[in-house]
Formats: sequence, C-alpha cells, structure tokens
Amino acid sequence: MLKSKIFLKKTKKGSILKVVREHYLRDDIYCGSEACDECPQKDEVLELRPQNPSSEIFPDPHYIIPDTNVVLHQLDILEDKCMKNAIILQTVLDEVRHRSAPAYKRIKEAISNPDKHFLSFVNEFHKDTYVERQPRETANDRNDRAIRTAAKWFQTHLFNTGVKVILLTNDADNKVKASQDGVTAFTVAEYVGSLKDNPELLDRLAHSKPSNAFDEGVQLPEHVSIAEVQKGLKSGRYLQGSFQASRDNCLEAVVFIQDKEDVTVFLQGNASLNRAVHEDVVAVEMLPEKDWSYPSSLVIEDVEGETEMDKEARKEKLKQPTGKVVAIIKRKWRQYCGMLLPVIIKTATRHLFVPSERRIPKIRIETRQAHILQGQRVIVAIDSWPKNSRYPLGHFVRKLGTIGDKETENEVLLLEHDIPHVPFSTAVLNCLPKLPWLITEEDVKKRTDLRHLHICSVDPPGCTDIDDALHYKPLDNGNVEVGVHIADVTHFIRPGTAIDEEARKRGTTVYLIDKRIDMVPELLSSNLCSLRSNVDRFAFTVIWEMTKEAEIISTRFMKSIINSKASLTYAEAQMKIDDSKQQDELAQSLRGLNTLAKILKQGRTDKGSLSLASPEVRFHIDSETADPIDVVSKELMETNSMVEEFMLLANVSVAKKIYEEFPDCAVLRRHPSPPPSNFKPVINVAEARGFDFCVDSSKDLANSLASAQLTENPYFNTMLRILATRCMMQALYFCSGMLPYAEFHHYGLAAPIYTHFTSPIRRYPDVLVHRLLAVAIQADASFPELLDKKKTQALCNHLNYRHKMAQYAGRASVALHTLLFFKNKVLIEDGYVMFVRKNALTVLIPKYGLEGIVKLAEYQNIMKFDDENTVQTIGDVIIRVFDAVKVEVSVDQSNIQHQHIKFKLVSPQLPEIEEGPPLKKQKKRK
Amino acid sequence: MAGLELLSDQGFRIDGRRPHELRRIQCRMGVFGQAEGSAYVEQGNTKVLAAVYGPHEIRGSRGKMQPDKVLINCQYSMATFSTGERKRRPRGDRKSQEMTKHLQQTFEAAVLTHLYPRSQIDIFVEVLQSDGGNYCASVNAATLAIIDAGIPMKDYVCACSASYIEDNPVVDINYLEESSGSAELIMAMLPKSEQIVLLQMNSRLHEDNLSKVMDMATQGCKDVHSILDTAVREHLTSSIALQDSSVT
Amino acid sequence: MAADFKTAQPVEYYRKFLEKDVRPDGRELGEIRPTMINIGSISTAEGSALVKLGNTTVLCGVKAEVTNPKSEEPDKGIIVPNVDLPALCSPRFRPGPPSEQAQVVSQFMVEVIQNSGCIDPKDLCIKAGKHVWVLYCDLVCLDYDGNVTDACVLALMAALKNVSLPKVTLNEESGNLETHMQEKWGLNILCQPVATTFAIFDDCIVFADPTDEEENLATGKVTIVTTEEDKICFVHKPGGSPLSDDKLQNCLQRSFIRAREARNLVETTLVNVDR
Repeated sequence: MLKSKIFLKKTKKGSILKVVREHYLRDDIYCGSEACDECPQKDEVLELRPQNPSSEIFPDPHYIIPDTNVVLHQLDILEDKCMKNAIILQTVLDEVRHRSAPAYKRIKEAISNPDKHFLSFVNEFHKDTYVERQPRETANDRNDRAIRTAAKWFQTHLFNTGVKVILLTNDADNKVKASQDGVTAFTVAEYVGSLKDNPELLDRLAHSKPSNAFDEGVQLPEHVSIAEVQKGLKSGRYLQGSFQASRDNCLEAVVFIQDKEDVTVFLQGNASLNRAVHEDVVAVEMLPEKDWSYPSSLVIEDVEGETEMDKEARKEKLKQPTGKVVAIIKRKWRQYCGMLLPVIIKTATRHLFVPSERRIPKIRIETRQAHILQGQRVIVAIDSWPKNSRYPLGHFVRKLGTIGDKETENEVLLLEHDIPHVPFSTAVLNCLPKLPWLITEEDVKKRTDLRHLHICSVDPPGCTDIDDALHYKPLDNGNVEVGVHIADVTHFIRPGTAIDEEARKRGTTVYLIDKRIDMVPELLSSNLCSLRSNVDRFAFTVIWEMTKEAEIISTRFMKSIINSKASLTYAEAQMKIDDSKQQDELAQSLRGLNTLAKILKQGRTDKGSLSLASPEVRFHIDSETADPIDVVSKELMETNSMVEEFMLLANVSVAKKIYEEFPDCAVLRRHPSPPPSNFKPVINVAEARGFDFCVDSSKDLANSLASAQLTENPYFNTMLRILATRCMMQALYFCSGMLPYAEFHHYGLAAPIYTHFTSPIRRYPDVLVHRLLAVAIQADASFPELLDKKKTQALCNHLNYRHKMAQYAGRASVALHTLLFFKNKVLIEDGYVMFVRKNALTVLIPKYGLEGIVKLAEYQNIMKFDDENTVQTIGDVIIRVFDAVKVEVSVDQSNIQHQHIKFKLVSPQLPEIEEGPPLKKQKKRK
Repeated sequence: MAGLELLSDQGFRIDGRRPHELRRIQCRMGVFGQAEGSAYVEQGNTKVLAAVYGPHEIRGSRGKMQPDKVLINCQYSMATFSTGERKRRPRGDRKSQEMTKHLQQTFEAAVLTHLYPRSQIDIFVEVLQSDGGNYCASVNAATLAIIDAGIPMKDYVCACSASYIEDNPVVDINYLEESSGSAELIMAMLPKSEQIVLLQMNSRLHEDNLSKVMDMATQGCKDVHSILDTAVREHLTSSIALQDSSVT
Repeated sequence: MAADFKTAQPVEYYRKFLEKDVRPDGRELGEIRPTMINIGSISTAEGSALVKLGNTTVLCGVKAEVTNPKSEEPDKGIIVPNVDLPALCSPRFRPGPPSEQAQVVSQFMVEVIQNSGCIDPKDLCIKAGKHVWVLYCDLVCLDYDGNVTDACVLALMAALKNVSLPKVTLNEESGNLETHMQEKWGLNILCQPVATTFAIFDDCIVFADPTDEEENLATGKVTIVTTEEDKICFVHKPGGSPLSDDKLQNCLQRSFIRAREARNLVETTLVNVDR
C-alpha cells in the first residue's frame, strides 16, 4: 500500500491540450551504499570501501556521479574496468535514453555488470531529491539542478560514513553552481588526469571542445538549428535523407532522400559535405541548377573533331541534381577499425587515424602512445566535428593487434560486420543441461520413438553441427515413407532464457574460412543437438507418405527420438549409391531417396525454380601455420542436391502448416521478383551471343538460362548463371501478418510460400519456426512474444540484418584468405571477362572463384568503348563480355591498410604503349 | 526518439508507483443533502461523485417495474471538463451508455434486490476529473453511496483495473498506461467471497499471462476493499459521535 | 408534531415563522446561507471553482480551445457558458435532455457575461479573422437546494479568475500556431458581477437566498446582479408577485452588501491558491 507519500501534480502543456499526470514521491528508495547503516536495504550496489583508482586531487574514498553529457560522451572512460562505484541518476538515464539509444544500451550494460558497482538511483521519485521545474527554467537547467540536488543529498546522507561523492561534469556553469551548493565537482579531464595509476585513460577522453583552430583557413559552414530544419523540411526547402559517402572520392557523396526511392542528391566539396559522415541522416538544400555538377569519375575526354560547344553540351547532360548539407539530423557514428598514419614528429600527441572503411573520413585523435600503435589495427570513436577542423575529432578506444596478422584481421572483419563474437557469458552457459545428459521416461512418453528407423545424415566433410537426417521406408501399399529429422534445438533453448536472448542477438552462426562463430554454445551445436550417429537424439520430424512418383499423400509432424545409423559425407553417400555391390538397407534407402529427389527436382524446375550459381571455393589450410596453401572450387555431387530437395520439401510443408495455424504471426521467407531492368547486363551478354533471352517470369528465366549453352565455351552457361544471381533481390524473413499473401512468393524456388525449418542449430529463424510448429501440433505451450506480430516483424528485420552481415563477413573472410594465399606469389591464371567497363575489365578466375579488376586507364588514348554492346576495342584487340583471358595475379602491398589483389592482362596481349604525358594535363577543365 | 518508458528497469512506473501499488485513494461519504446516499472518491487524479436515490416508487414508465425485485436505474456522466480534451456531451454517447449499463449490471448482482419489489433505486455517477480507471472509481464511489443510503448489499463491490506492461502485471492503471495499447483488465468483485461480478478485458493478452493479471486485479480489489471499509467505519464513528453530542 | 404540520400545511407553517421575522432554518429574512468556495480543484480544466451556498453545490470548469472566430466579429473570442442540472443533484430532475430550467439558467449566464462586460472578448483574440480562444464554461450542479443562479454566477466568476492559458502565437511563415509552454497568462477580469436572488412570499414578504423548499412556496422571485462600486448591471424578475419600489430598494441595498462580501471571499480564496 502507499503510505506517507507526498504527492504532487506535474502539469504538462501539450500544444493546447492540458495533460495532468500524477507523480508519487517515495520514502522507500535507498542509497544503495554498503557503507550506509541508515537505509534498511539489501543488495547494496556501491562498495563499503570504494577502491576507485587513487586520484591525486581527491584521495578520499568516493563515489562518482556523472552528469548526462559525461555519460553520453565519455562512455569509453566509464566503461573502463578501473571506473567503479558510480551513481547513475534517473534524470541522467532518462536524458541519455532520449538522446542516444546506443549510449543508453551501453550504460545499461555497465549498470547490470556486478563488477562495476554502478548504482542506478531513482532520484526523480525520491522525496528528498525531486525538484520541480521553476517558471522560466529550461528543461536542461532543471535537470542539472536535479543532478546537483541528488549529489548534495548523497553527500549529506553519507556524511557519517566517510565516503564522499564527486560530481563529474564538463559544463563550467554547472560546476560553479555545484561548488556553490557545496558539492565537490570536477571535469572529467581533471578527474581522469589525476588518476596517476591509469594514465592510459587520458587517451580515451572524448574531445568535444576544440582547444584551438585545427586547420588554418578551414571554416566550414555553420549547421542550421533543429527548429530551422524542421521548418525547412515542412516547407520543402530542405530534404531529409541518408548520407552515403563515395567509395572513391572523399569529397563526393550522394544523399538518398527519405520516402522518395529514386531521388538522390549529389554533393561535392568539403563545404557541401559539411561534416556529414557516411550513413548520417542529414538535411540537404538543393543548389540552383546552374551550379549542378557531376561525379569526377565521369571524366570528360576530348573527342576528336568536337567543338567546345559540343563538349559543354555533353557536360550538361552528365550533370546531376546537386545540393549541400545544411544540418545533421541524426549521427550514425560507431566505433571504427583502422590504423594511425605514420608519425613524423616522435613526441607529437595529435595523430590522424585512417579507418579501414574508405567511406569514413580520417579522424584526428590525441594519444601519447602513438609509437606503440604504429602498424597496429586500432579502434577509434568519433566525438565531434568542429567547423574549423577538416577532420572529425575522436579518441582512441583500444588496439586489436598487428596489421596483416590473421587473428587481428579476423577480429577486424567481425567488428566491421557487427558480428557478436565474445565468448558466451556464464549466464548463457548456466542454461545448458548438465552432463551426462540422459533421456528420461517422461521424454520418451511425450515423443514418438523412431529409434528403430534407419536414419542417416549426409553433410560436408568435417561437419560437427548436424542439423538434419533422413530416412526412407517402402510401405506395404506400394507407397513410400520419407522422413526428415531436424535437431530439436528448442527443447534446449527455452524462450526468455539467457541462452535464447543470446542466440536471438547472434541470429546465425557465422562461418569464416578458419573459424566458426556459433549461435549456440558448442555443447549444443556439436553435441546434444547434433544428430550424430549411434546416439539417441531429440528431433523434430516431418514424415511424408509419398507415391513412387513423389506425390505427397500425407504429411505428419512430430517431436521424436531418433538414433542415426550413419553420419555420411556427400562423397561417402554418393559412393554408396553408385556402388551397386552394396545392398544393405542404408544403401537402398539412399538410392530410394535419390530417385525421389530427382523427380522432385524435375518438378520444381518445371515450375520455374532457378538453379543459379556462385563460385564457391574451399581452402586447404596448412595445419601448422593455419595459412591457406591451396584453393579449390567446391564440388557439387548428386547427394548435395538430394539432401537439398528434401530440406526444401520440409521447409515448404512446415511453411504451409504454420501459416495455416498462425496466419498473423508465422515466420516465413520470401524472395521478391526482381524488376526486369535488373537483368539488363545478362540480356545484353546473351543477346550479343545470339540467344533469345526472356526474363518475364522465373520459369522463362530458367528456360533461357538452360538453353544458353555455348559448345566452344562450356563455362559460358555457369557465368551466365553467376551473372543472373547478381541480378536477384535479397531473400528476406518476414512475419506473415505484415504482408498480403501475394507477396509471400519465393522467386528463386518458384514456391508460393517458404520458410526455414531445417537448420535450427545455426539459424535463429528456424528456432522461431520450430516453436510455432510445436505450438501448432500441440507439442509445446505458446508464449506471448511468439504471437505478437509487431515484435516478430522487428525480430525478422534484425535477423535479416544479421544474415546479411554474416554473408558479407563470410565473403570478406574468403577475400582475406585469398589475399594471404597470393601473398608473395605471382601466378598466371585462366579467367573470363565478367564485365566490360569504360576503363576497366572485371575478370573472374573460376579456379579460385576470384574476381578482380584489370585497369585499362593507361590505354586511354587508343581505347574505343562501345556502350551499347559493352565491347572494348584497344588497338586491334577486341574484348567482349565472357571472353576467355589470361591474367597475372599478384598482391598489391603498396597500401598496407588496403592490400588487394592486382590483375594484369597477359592474353590477349595488349599493344605496347608509349609513356605519354600524365593524363591529367590532357584534360581541359573550365 | 525513444517513447515513454512505462515501467523502468528499477521497477517504477511512470508516476513513481511500483507495479503492485494502487494510486492514493481518498473517500468521503454523505457529502450531499438531497440524495439518500452520496459519496465522493478520488483515485489518484480520477475524481468521482456518486448519489443514490431511493428505494422509491417507479418513476417514468411503469413497464419497467419488476414484481419480484427492485429496479436499479443508473446514469454515468462525465463532466465536459473532466478530460484533457473537452468532451462534447457529458452523457448519452456510446461510451457513457456502456458504462451506465455496466454499472447497472454490477449493482444488480450485489444489491439485495428482492427486498424492494416494485420499487426503484437510482444510482447517479458523475466523473469530475478523469485519469483512467473511471469505471473502477465509479463502482467504488457508488458502493459507498449505497452504504450511505443504508441499502443492504451482499458485500462491498470493489473494482480495480490491471494491465500487463513490459512483462509485468501492474495494478490500477492510469490514463497514460490505459492508452499505451497494452491489455486492460477491469474487474469488480465481492471481496469477502471473492466472487467476480464484472470482468472485462480489452486488447490482446497472451493466455499465459491472464492469471497473473487476474491475480493482480484481485489483490487490487482487496486493497480497495480495506480502504473503503476503513472509510465507512470512520464515517459511522464520526456520525454517531455527532449524534451523541447533539443528544447530550 | 412540527414535521406533520409542515407536511400538511407547508405555507401555513412558513407563515407562522415569517411572522416572527425568522425562517424555519433559523435564518433572518435577509440572511444568506454560509458560502464556501474552492478554487482550482479540477486540474484537467484551465480554471475551476466549486461553490457551496448552504447545501447547493455548483462546480464550474473552464476549458479553452482555439477556434475560428465568427465572421461578423473577427477579433473577438467566444465565451460559452452552459449549466447542467443532472439527475444526480436532486430528486426533482429526471435523466434525459437538459431541462427547461437548465436552459433558462444558461441563458441567464450568457446575459450576465454580456451585460457586465467582465471580459473584453478582444483579449481572447490570437490573430484577427483566423484564430481566437473559445472558453467553454461548464457549470454542473452537484447538489440542488435552491438558488442555483447565485451559486452559478459566483462559481463562474471564480473559475474565470482562476483561468491560466499558455501564450499562443501564430507563426506567419508556416501558418502554424506555436505554443509557449512557459509563458502563461490569466484573464483580465474587468469587473466581477455577483447575483443575489430574493423570493417573494405571500406577495409581500421578501427574503434572500431561498432554499429549494422556499422556492417552491414562493410566489415570485427577483435576481439582482451588481458589480463593483455598487453598480447594477442586471435585474431579472420573471413575473410572479409584483414588487413595490421601496421593497426593491431594500433588495438592492442588501445585494450591494452581499456582492462586496462575495468578492472578498473570492479574493481571499484566490490568494490561498498557488498558481
């Protein structure tokens, strides 16, 4: 019951609406300090003798109270493990929450870490620390006063304990007022500077205020105020959009205008970019049409016989709508990996940091340890970008390791792709079942016992997380029974547990060439869930009764116990099928499955399912140095496709079932049809070779692809498929309640409805699907989040993001290993031309699945590029798309941060070129 | 921009209450002279006045007369200035008519109706200020007014709302919490026998959580009961003391 | 015994009392029931006041909205008083549409506001021809024990004095209204009318502030509204027994005194309300 509570009213005026809220003040909020005897509290957070780092200016034991700006901007300091015993006031927490979601998340994590002893103190509801906003007082001033009042209260409250409190604020005015109130206050710089045992902390100090001018003469335009921006957006004077810096030119960028899909605004020059950083949400103002410009990559060359007039006219055509940034609406700054530029003066403390992402500008940081950081990958955060600085100001966060070192580069890769990869926390590990894990009678009662069936799994070699297994059984009525058994991960990962949270956060297992970042701890992924042979395992089973012609008679779903009889690799399974001497039950099952799979595949192809291609490679890794020693393309066998067919079938069956049971909240996967314009490159190439190419539907596309065969170039078809794959849209997870049924379509598989059910060990969407299916067949209880379509959609978006990032990371890992493989080698390889561009060729080497660019800029004068048919003529050499070529492959190490593979055309041989004067001088610029 | 945090990590609601805490309830009985019974209840910022007339002979259409029990006639009305945005009409709109009906149903189940056949009891409720939980405050005020009028009931009728916010059941929700879109459960019960007289739930709630919210509302009703009971006892003590002093 | 007499012959019962210049509730003929005011108790309203005149209780809440002005008066704000006599306040009233009496009192309030000129409607103008304030003054009778008009006028004026509005300006550029939360202003009340009602009994006896019972027995009624400096702004005598000139003079004198008392009461109450 409420007792002895003073009660006030907070009246808040909306536009004209009068809102009245109650605000209860309490006397049961305690100080949370172990040193205090007065408060009848348990679970004190703050330590009795705070072992804060000894400060020279304040040697007494103390707690620190940071104000809002300190929490917002100096999180790297607060997160350091030597910073303990801080009091985070509710006023501060609320303000942080409103101003920066990432900062809020980070400070909350710090509060929940028991080692930090961070107390979150609800001062707004405490009867002695609540302050009412006074007439004419701004909200900020009121909050500052609330913070000082709370600091004062702690000081008085803890007076007898000998523990003091310090207010940390970088606001000079606030500091003065605090001293007037008798509260000890320091700026963060003063406090951190006085910590003689932790000098490295100083480097992490965020620099918000420029001490003096940075770059002589640099004066970027002032940003307009938020109010102005809002007014301007309303009146249409300004446009809001996402800022995308150019990859090639740091002085150019485009802005994708919000809510207008095709509208982009081009920006050029420091003043126009005006301190925007890649991904920021900005307000732009259009320039008058006469000032419009075009990207410098579209170089204007002289054409013989052309008059100045013609040239101007050509330039006019290239011009794009151009604008300038007037304000930053939302910063999307994160922490960046990169390296320091080499120092010239040894003792200098100011350094430039070069991020590995080219779209991010250089960042100016201050550090005293520059000499140790040379040649290291480091992480830096941006703090601010004053208008008199050419570069943003940031601070050093931590170092990752030596550049080029595989561990370091892997770490960079994971960080840059935002992949959670820290070891599983104890809370997560505590959710694991205790070993030895035994099946109880209860389990047997609840599940269908399928241990007698001849079940086997087929996977790539070395696979330890076996998601799926199959069985085949002829029935007496002439039909056959086929079963797909999927690891029952949801038996171990219960909703709402720490392990579930973590798996959801990770979203997917990430496969790098030499590393696997598991979604669930290894005990589950490689042991208890993995459907290994000759052990009892829980499975989620789909059993079909089919005719010999692979027509489904009935489908059943059940939770089961299985005992796999064999874990085969694709090659082993293939051998069993091909070796007619083997007549055991397993071999016969596999043959039966294989036959059915072929029928299924044919049926699918007839419907228009696409078989696309992407060059996949495998590295042979040296077991000692763990460096790649050879690269081979992955081979595809019949058995690969056999397993795939049944997985597809299971996914479709499950998708139908869960959609039928939960039309509003089923987790499904869709693959939108690409707009026909996407296929232009493919059509061009195919038509150039005399093929009719139709892309109206996936069936047409499949047929066109199948018919486009060139006898003299057997790889032509594969390349066409590779190219077609790149024209596709991304497949996406989504919640069925958010889209009309017509949009559920899976283009690539030509299926009206599809989901992912078969890999719950490595994909979180499958976990959700398992839960839905379990509820649908009444094998498990439902729970609230499962049926909330908005939450489900938000989760799907998150999983799509994770999935995309995992794919990128995987590709980046291949690229990294390819680079390591070619290091110090020069090889001449066969390749094919994938694209012909104005001044470069893209060449694919199928042997390595490696794609690279052959630069042709030096042949500028003798090149003729036919834009219509994408044919490049250099002297008497004609280069067309998909031509076979030979290239010399080597690693260009000139830029240590961005080492990359260099291609040089060997055959067809290009004409010798005389050393002409540098290109730039030929250009006439007005 | 982050929206409102209805329940903080520290376990406080937006107005500083913990999930299981009721708002401050204040009540007065016998506030007006004209009615047989009257009461005024403040539940936080929700302020409600109830007046009870009767039992008296049937007024209006005789057809409504019931031979075996009393007719309970209710009217729920909200002052135009009771809400943030001005209400156009104090009564007669659908919401008010629904409330009127609910009140009638609630009290038909609690008043010993067989004691007054062929008669009528009027229960009039006026919401002077509204901050969520209008029905609950109305029921609680009407209960006190009926007691003030001396009309026998099976038990107090106590009403309380509950919701489920951020995976926590919360009791006695205010307007802000009501309008957050989370489920709202309204319960009126006879606390001694724990019989539910009226139960209504809006918006979606997973069935697993229903019992938690029900338990919360039940406990809320019991807490309301002890407050109302104290108020009745105090009112009686002081009026007896008044009578005593006037006698001597 | 006395109660039986009262029920059987109420008029005779009253006559007996009035012969001795006293009323059954102990009041003298000119005496007004104890008056109590509570200001600002409804926080959802921009201004509010609760008035108790004996048992008669009236609650007034003022809600403000921005609206378009009438085309014939582009620079004038609007004040809309409305009196509600719900079934809750007395057994005399039935649930249903507003009674005739409620409409009569509402109209009376309109005239008091207009005749007294207590508020300059131009003060409520935000932008002439575009936006003006409208003040909805809703008066709810919570307990009806006679003389609801006096209570209503008092409640209305006290509530108006309590009104606090945010400053609203028109942004010429965007055409939007901008609200300045921190800048609040109260209404400029030019004068404060107070109503005093007298009942006429047996065509000759006049007494002030009749109760419900007295109103039923009275043969006539007169309401006098006066403002500061003893100015009469409105006299309302809806038929009934005629009234002699000197009797009216007495009533006027009495109402001047009453008005002063009432104004003092409002002022002292206002001082105690922190706004």
